[in-house]
Amino acid sequence: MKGLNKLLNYDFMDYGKVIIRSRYFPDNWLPFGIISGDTDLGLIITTAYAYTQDRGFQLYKVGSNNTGMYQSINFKYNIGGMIFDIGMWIKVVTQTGNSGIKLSYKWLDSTGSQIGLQHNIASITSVQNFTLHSVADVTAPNGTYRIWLGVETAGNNQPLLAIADNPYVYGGSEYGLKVYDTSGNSSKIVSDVSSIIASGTITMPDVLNDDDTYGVDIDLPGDDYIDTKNLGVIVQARDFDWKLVVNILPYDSGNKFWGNFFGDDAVTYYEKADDGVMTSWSAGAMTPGDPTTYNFAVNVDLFAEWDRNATSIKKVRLFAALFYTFLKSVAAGTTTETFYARDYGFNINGVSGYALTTTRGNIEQVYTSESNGNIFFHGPKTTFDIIIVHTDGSETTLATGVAEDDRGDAWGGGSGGEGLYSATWALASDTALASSDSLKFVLNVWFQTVNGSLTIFTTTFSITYTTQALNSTLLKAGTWALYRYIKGYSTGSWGWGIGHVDIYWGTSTKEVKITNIEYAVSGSGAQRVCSIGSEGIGEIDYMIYQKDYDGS
Amino acid sequence: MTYGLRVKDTLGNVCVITPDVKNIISSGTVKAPTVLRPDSTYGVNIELPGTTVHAVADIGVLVTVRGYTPSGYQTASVSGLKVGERAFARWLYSGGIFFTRNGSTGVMTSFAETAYHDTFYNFHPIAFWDKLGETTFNRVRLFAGVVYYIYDASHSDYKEIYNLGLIEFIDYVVYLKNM
Repeated sequence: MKGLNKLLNYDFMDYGKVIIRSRYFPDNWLPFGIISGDTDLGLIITTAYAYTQDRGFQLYKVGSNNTGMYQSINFKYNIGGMIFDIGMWIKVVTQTGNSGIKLSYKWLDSTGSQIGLQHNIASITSVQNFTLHSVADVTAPNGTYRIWLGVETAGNNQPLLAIADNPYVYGGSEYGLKVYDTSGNSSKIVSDVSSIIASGTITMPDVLNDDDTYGVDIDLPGDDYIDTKNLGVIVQARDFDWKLVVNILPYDSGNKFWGNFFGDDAVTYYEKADDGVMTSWSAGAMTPGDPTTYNFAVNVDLFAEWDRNATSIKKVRLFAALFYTFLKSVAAGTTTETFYARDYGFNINGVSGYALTTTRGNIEQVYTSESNGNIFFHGPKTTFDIIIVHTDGSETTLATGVAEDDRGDAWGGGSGGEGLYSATWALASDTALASSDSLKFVLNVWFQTVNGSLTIFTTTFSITYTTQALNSTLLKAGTWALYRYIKGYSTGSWGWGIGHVDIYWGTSTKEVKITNIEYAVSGSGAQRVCSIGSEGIGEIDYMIYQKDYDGS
Repeated sequence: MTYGLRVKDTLGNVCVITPDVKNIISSGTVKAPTVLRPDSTYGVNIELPGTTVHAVADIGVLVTVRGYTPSGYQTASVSGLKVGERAFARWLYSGGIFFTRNGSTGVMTSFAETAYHDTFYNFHPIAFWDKLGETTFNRVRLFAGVVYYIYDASHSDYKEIYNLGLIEFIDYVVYLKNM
């Protein structure tokens, strides 16, 4: 073994900031080649196309141009003479003519200039399942400071669809503290090692928290928000008590008994929403002759988890409850909701965006932009694109560039302003949905600033927000109000500084939200609820670990 | 102990780091698959470091389910009872997609339920390290599914049946020693 994988984000689990044709590149990886409509490339989050973890990197070539993805590892010292293993797993789903996938690496000097030839690891021109393509024990030439590893489409023909996954570069100098025993066994302690920062047994409360969520918060060390990718939590139930009522039917002249279990109307059960808010629910009273008052218990299971929504946190919320599936009758109808933008993201139906939920959050999020020239000239003008996204990733556009708000008259010639602004858009007719469909809202921002030389600068950007699947088959016609919180300001000397436009959301005072969205709710015969504390899971064991922990 | 690295704090508390110390080499939350793998096994692969295999004794895995959608069943109220007596029968969902799992190899095989015959008496989500019958590993397979305890009336047998795709996310930790 040649140490740990030297590539950053080799499992593609962290999103990057590069987005091409609505697909994210993984963090620390960059595009190269001709970026055009000819190749759709980026992360694809589906285990059907993943060799490891739950995602792979898709290269979908539909034209003559070729492009790819690479990472350059900068060792920052001369690795000449050191030995490396380099490889990547590649699956080719569709291949046409001379189209193919090329995997290669290069040695680079301290300035990034190539040393010698580019080394081809594989040129694949046929369909294959995930296959490892690699080289072993290759020696870096003297003067090498960096290793470049890239995967790209090749050839003139199309279409070609391929997935790359699980890349690696092993080798070079090792680091860490290696501890041996007298038999020669060893363990290496490296900086990536995680520390257990909290663990033990906790009694679960019998009541909800003030915000109607449930669980116990464990403080994390320090005062700073900690990225959830550096945290791990394992939590398990250790004590529970279930609450049901049995109904016994004697038969065989009273010698045998048939038992059925039902919800207990003396117990408070709770429904748990996706955002953690709990709503109380009562079982029927089992009135003889009235079957609607009998809630048959289909199953029971213990459930404990790290209840999380934000991407950076100061506390870990431990949730545990005993869940039941009850039969019940729920009438079909419609619900009218307000969707609030949240500080965390969803990935729904292939769309990555900030979450829209039916409950308001309390953590502020901001998207910032800058422009040369700090005198507002035109705008900011903000509009929304409104899109239905289907489970296969295809989209049905309901509207583009609607619900416009233009600050131009108010801000023009000045240094900005700040406020919550809204405009409406009407869905003209009822629109059919599949239950797995979600709604995507793209906020488009356009503004112009001018500097002291009267040079005009135009800045545009977009922010994507997405709901989860609506679980509805009909979006009702109606007029929606679309809110956005905009702050424009200038820094530097008048005419020669920087103009800023920031979009805020996530709290009751600064929010992006869409109101009055009405959609159908299906009738249901089952309900999943839970009981808590001494009537559910009374105690849990847990362990919280953190990497990049410096002991503070 | 004659080997190891001894770390002390100012109060005299001691921690000895030995070769038995395990490194968490991968952890987090991953999306569970909705389809079988080409070899008819099921689950998410987590890569282990290096290009050589690791012994089973050097690997540890914890995996839990983040939530699931109860489904795959149907019920019916039994008629002809007296007032005040409510009784239900419950079966696997007619037309549902179920699998049995070979405990030695991890291979999943379709299970054809018989409508209104195969009674279940509970179901719940389950997740574990699926060793696929191997003793050395260059990756770890995480399995997660909803298991039903049923009576297979057609074969007069008690079975564990799996419904895959009802679990969206799983949390996991993979740790390793002898690195």
